[in-house]
Amino acid sequence: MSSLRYDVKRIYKELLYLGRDYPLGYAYFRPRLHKAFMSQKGLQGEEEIKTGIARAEHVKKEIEALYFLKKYRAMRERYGACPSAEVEVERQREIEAMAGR
Amino acid sequence: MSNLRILVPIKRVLDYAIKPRIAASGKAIDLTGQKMSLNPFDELSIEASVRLREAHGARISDILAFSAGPTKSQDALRTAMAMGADRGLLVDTNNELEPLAVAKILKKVVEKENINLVILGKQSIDDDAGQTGQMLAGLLGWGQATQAAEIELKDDVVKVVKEVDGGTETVQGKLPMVVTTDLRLNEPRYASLPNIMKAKKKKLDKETLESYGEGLQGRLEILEIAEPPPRQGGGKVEDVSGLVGKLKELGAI
Repeated sequence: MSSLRYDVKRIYKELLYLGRDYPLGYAYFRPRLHKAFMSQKGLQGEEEIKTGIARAEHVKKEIEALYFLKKYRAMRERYGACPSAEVEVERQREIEAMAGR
Repeated sequence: MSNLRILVPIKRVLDYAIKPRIAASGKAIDLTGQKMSLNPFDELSIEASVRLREAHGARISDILAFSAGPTKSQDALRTAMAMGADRGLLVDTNNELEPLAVAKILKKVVEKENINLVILGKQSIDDDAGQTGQMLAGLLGWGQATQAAEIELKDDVVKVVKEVDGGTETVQGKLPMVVTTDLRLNEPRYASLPNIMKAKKKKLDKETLESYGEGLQGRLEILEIAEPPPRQGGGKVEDVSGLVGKLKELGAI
């Protein structure tokens, strides 16, 4: 039982750490994270708690993916081909395909 | 088949999500109290070197993260080590270094540490010079593959796919090599809390700029930094004739 307690604390701390980069701010993230964990405080069975931890791990992955995408999109906008150019190329290909048919 | 000793030079820059403010002098960006982080293109190069290790295991004998800049750059080095670099090296200086100076320092690091593959970000998002990798390859007399969208290592040959207008270009060269990374190379992993903690135990050496000799002073002077002109607001027209009139006025028709 006690090892599960530490698992819960560990994932909570990892999520808190992730929250420091949250787009809406740490002040938004922290109380919500706390509430989410507190709402599950009644969990008793070992299996139930493990499922809860797995859910927290999933959320962690989602947040990491969110940060990656946000950064990637910002970088693409600044340094990659501008989206309108991509759309333009796509349209050109469509026209060529239609002409070929 | 030689073992790989990889050098990943990184830079600590103003975080990508923060809008730069021009300092009162008008010749610099105000960095006081701003969030700083690892240059996004350098994250890609660290990820690339870590993935080479995951694919080739024992062949990769060292991944060295390097930075030249203020003492705080060690935070960026810690992030790099949390992502998987083995150790860090910081050249501690408050001087603003130009790409040629950085390339000269890197050349010395390469020689001292017996590096045979350098993977660096194609540019930093603060100065956007995009010169360091190319200059380093020139100084070393090595082959270079810039703006890599894919890196593949087979024996002593490095194959790099680059994104060019409307397609791809594939180049290959023998080690030693310099490779610079483009945006779509990989998806850098997040430096998680446990890994940051572990990275604190990894070795981080500090050296002074003086130990890297002469000829590192800047050659350019910043005269002015200016913001882009603010966007002109659009206007609404009442009806079609209004639109036609407006277009005529602008000389569009």
